[in-house]
Amino acid sequence: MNWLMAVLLVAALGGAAPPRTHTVEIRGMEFHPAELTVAPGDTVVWINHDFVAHDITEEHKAWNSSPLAAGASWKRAGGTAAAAACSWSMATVTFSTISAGVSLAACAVR
Amino acid sequence: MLVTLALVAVTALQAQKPAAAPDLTDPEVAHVAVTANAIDIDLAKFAQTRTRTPAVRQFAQTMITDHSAVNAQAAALAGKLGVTPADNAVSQSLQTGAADARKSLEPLQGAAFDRAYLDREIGYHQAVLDAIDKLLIPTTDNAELKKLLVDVRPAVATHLEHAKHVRSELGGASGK
Repeated sequence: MNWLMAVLLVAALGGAAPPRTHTVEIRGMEFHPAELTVAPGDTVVWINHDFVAHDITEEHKAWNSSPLAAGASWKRAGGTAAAAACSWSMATVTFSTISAGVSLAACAVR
Repeated sequence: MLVTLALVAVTALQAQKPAAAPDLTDPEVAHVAVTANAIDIDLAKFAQTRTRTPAVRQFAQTMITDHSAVNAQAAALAGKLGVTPADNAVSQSLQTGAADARKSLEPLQGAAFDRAYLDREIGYHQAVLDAIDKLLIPTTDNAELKKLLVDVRPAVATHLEHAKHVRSELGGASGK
């Protein structure tokens, strides 16, 4: 009985899992991973491994990072309903959407 | 024009050594890389003085920023390796092509300039990609220099796609 209760308790708490931090590496002008699902409260850290600077921009330009030089990183707490997008130091990229609970994040030059 | 010149340079070098990739020394490869970046930076600076189109201005700024970053890495690596870049036929053909391109752009204004600049950038980045793949990477001996070229390639490819995207938004016939 106690075991069953423990399982139920874990299941109940499952919806309120502690926030996680996800790392997205920018390498070769691409996001790695190219797709990412985040939960409310999660944080995403981008690290730029390219020589050239990149920035991270919300899909509708609600926010964006400053340019990330080679080796620099930038983080933003996720979990809001707002979609996020990636961009390089240019506008010709497809969107990387990071939204609460559900996500599709594919960043590639279009 | 530059595409032609670069390909002529590659072809000429291949003709000298038909059985193998053209044989540039690592200092010569470094010189080609630095020259290729400097040429695009210079033309972008000129474009910024001439264009009034935000997308073209942004593209030119990206070229200045990105190619400056690459050259900083190349200079740092050359310093680390104790390599002094050495002038060579490929670098010279790139410079000749750059001078010709600048000459053809000089008299143009407005939309005609924007289109001609983007056409030139498309051709240039395609030529540089070809040179990276067919000449520079195959002929480089030093592993770190080779890795720098491999790492830079995606940025050049992205620039090419960026140039094509901006060019398509400008409309008009190629070279007009």
